[in-house]
Amino acid sequence: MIPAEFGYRRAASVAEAIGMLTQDEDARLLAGGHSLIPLMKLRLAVPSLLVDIGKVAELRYVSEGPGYLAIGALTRHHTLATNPLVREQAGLLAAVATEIGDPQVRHRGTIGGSLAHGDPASDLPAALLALDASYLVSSPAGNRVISAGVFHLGFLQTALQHGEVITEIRVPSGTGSYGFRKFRARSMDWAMAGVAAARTPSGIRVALVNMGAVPLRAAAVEAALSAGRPAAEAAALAAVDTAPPADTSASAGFRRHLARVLTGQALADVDAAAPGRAGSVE
Amino acid sequence: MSLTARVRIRVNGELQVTAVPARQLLVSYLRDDLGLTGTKIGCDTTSCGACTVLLNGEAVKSCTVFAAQADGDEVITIEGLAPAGSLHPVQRAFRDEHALQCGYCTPGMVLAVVSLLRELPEASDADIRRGLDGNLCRCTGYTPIIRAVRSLAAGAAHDPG
Amino acid sequence: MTAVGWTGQPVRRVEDAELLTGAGRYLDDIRLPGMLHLAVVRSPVAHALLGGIDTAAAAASPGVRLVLTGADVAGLSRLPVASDSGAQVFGPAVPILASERVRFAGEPVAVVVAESRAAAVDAAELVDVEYQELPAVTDPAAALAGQVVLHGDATDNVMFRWHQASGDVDAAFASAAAIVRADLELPRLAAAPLEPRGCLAAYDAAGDYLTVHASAQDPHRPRRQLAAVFGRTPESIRVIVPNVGGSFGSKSMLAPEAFATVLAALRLGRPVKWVETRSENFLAAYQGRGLRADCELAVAADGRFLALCARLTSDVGAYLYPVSPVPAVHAGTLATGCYDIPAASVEVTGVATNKVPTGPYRGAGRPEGAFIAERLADLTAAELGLDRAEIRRRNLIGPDAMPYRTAVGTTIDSGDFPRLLDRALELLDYDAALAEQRQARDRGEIYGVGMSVFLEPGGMGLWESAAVSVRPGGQVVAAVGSTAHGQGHQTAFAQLLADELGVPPAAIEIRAGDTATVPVGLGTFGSRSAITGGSALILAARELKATAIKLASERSGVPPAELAWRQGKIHGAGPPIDPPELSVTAGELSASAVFRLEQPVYSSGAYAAIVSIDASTGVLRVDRLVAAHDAGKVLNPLIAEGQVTGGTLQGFGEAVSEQVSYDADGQLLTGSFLSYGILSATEAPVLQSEFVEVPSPLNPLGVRGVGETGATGVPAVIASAVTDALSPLGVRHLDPPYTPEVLHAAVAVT
Repeated sequence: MIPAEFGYRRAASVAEAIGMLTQDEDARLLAGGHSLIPLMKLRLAVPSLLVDIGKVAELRYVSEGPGYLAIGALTRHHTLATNPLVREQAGLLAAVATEIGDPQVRHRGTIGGSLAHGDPASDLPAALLALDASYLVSSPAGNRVISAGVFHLGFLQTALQHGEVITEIRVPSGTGSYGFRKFRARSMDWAMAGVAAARTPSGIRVALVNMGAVPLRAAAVEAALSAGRPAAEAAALAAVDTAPPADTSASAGFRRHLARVLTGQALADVDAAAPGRAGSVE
Repeated sequence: MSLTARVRIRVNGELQVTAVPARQLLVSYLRDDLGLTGTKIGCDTTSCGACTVLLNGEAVKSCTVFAAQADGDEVITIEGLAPAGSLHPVQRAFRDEHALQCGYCTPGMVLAVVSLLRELPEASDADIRRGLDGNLCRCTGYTPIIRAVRSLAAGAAHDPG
Repeated sequence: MTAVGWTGQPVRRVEDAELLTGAGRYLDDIRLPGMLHLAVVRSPVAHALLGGIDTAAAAASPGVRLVLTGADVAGLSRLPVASDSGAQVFGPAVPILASERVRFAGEPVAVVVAESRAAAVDAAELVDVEYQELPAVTDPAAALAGQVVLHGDATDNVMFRWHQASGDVDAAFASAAAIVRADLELPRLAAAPLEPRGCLAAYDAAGDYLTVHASAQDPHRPRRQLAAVFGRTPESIRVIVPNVGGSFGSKSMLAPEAFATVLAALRLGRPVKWVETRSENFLAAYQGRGLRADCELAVAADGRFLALCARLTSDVGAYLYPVSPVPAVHAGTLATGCYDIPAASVEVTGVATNKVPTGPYRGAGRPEGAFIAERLADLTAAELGLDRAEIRRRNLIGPDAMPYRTAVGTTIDSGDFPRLLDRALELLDYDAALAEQRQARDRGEIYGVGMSVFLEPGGMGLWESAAVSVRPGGQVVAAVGSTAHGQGHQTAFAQLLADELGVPPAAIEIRAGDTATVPVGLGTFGSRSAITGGSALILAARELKATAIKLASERSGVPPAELAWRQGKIHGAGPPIDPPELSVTAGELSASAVFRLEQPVYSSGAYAAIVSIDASTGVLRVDRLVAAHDAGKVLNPLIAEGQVTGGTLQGFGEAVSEQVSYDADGQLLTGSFLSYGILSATEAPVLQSEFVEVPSPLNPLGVRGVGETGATGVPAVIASAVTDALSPLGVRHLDPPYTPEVLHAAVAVT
């Protein structure tokens, strides 16, 4: 499995990367490469130019911003899983990151890369949706902030324009307990279905992994909860307005069933943990 | 725009300064250019882990890293894990527990274990199993591999099985 | 044997140091000067007439040296379809590269040879092939109906037939108190060795000598195939099998792509290497299983089995490879399991479908046979309201009935099946498990207890060759036809010879895997190496000792009876004689031997298991898995246990996860490790197993096979436990794999 030929440029800064990207319509940004390189090996992605930002140190950080936790886009899954600040202030992300792929993938894969790839089967985008996160994006026109709820437009499609680079992920402070459940036949598999739930200042948020073309908010569940319905009753609504895929690992119907079961479990985790404290991480 | 990239990579302690095709994967650079064929290729989908090497001390799948991305990095392959003629403790434990049969997954598996034990020196059985998620073995049934790792995990629960 | 006693000890493998340090040499690790690389152009569709193939752009691509298509291989003898399975074969010859028609998605259509692998892959994309698509047939039942016929000359899709019957089946069914029916299906599986297939061919035109390195199970069968296809003498071909990264039956024959590689090397006079990708391995390496069984068992009122009637359908795929009929015929032979069934009629039909061919995969008919017999045993117990252990005890062939000729016409040499079952149930604590099950069910849990008893015939092919030489200083060099690809032959065979010759294992070098150093041999397949290769080595060693004593007697005048071989030397005629001194040639003393068997040697075993199923998600949990194996004399428990443990995970994968899937158009849906469910460490069950050593009378070592034990017994025991768990919900039978969705559906419908 050998990728087709492409040009390669190494960027020393975000600004330089944006400059390189804008010179070539078929250029792609390369971070950890764990979404893009597999596609290139199968020649399902054939970029003309890769702009490598892997060594841009300014994108690797976790820090406290005003009212949010700021996570540099090149922060690796392994760092998310182990960083004390992330574990303390965004425990859901740490819990999710712990279970992404396998150790080798977690050593290379980055949060920004995962978001930009826009795969609804990825766990982090759904978790960030549940956390009401937003993404700081740089482009030749300057910076803009895109909220998680409008970032994913379709299967492998995001709101990023060509030449735009995610630089920072912002997770609002004040998130309380959470639950994360994903179901897979083998631990190496992608989620057949997954659920991330979190108690946020504006109520309990529930987001679904691999239940449609984009990461989905389980709006019916959230509405039922805010209307005071019991968690079990709310969880039964988890598959409302979902469009899960059907493949050799599971039918759409089984995924809907799993979404309901997992939502019940994730909500139980949210309830079990005291507000303001980390929820049930193994 | 160039179809090649200049790299400086330290491989098994030796600095390599060279130009590589942009599309060359690290596994190909190690195997084809440096002749370090201990690193294996077992799949196309970042699944099997046969190509695992240590990149700056951490296990990564060298089939999913372009050689160009490793510029400035340090790579340890199975050939460089222990001085010639000797075995690393993980290698010894694999031999003692019969944790390899055909040996094809073994270099990657050993390096994954080295990385795992660096991160979790007191890995539990559950940690060990999950720590091996990135490496497939079709011969051993994993049980002897788990046993080998357990024998090295200081303070690990020595539960049976 | 001397008192040293290496045999039977858990000696650590001598193979390991090299493999652990990356010094092993597998096919793709070998580079020859001037070597070229070959990439394969494969059909994207499952069934089509081939129109034009335009190779001009590929041929003009940078670095390309040769493009071959079906027209280029027309002059070769096609791959033979002959099979020694005993089946009546109808399949047409197998093409090396497709001509006129493609019959499965992934079938090789052309190959491109270039200076680098990247150049070959780039150019392969430029080969332009016109496909006129035809309807595809993927389901064997539909293929039997014959709407779509794969092979032009044939009127139907039948590729082979096999039938065995004895006893009065009709009378047994007429008198039966009950007739137990089962329609069973075992899906296709991928062997998926971690090292994919490949070969490296080099041709020396001056000497007209062909050297082929192949990732294969052994060198001698590939050499015979190469000789047949290229019309060469075997002596003009050397086949070398380097380290091999697993096979599990899937490298029993050279791939069609390998013949194209050899042709390219012959044409170009430069070495050519082909190494497939994992994707190609899933697409184009022959698969295992793919068997349906329509079975009826006539049973007496007391639960005694009276007669079996079974019709097996094998999903052969697009072509009948030489190895394709073997598993299904084996399954038919073993369909009566470990049971005393006086009458049987078993027929096997191999059917062409638009999928990659099938062939041996670990067990190769043994798991299928055990699955049939054990499902019927469980279903009979359910039908008659008898305990499942009891129904087995009433029908197992007893040790005093050995050797036992089954109604399907095979003779089981020896074994103690009731003892194995009892031991497995004892290890499980069967009564306690049943008591726990009652309590678990009261709590609303889905809890099952299962058991299986199985046969593992080994030693097929019925011969092997070995040679043993002693060199000055006591160095022993042994050559044997059975080649290892992970089984630890170097260690185990050295242990055997160490005891036989009284020298330490470190003084023994085992050579295999090269036709130049091992002139004659058969190979490694079907749990045969210890039985046939080990025995051949022992016979050769004994021949060596006899020769040495005879020569020493002639030289010294001391009668042979007063001479003895001890610790590698001849004693009794003055100072100990170093055997090589007796040789008139080349400073070493050698002997060779061929070991022949009259019939296969039967291993047997029993598994028992406790499982529980999560009602909300269908997740299966194995709470206990125990086994008792009779592998005869165990040569090295470390290695034997390794075979059992590894086979157990493959069997467990077959039971819960693995399944090759195609869509209705014949497109492979499980083409990577992401979608084909081989298990990782987290899912590996913990097995508690022990060996019950009943020596086989059929070979000088008393050994039996052990390589396929786990793969054979585990699918049946998991099926037994799962259906037991679900029986209160009215489930009678389920086919594997028992995925969460399948089990959840079984729970949810009730």
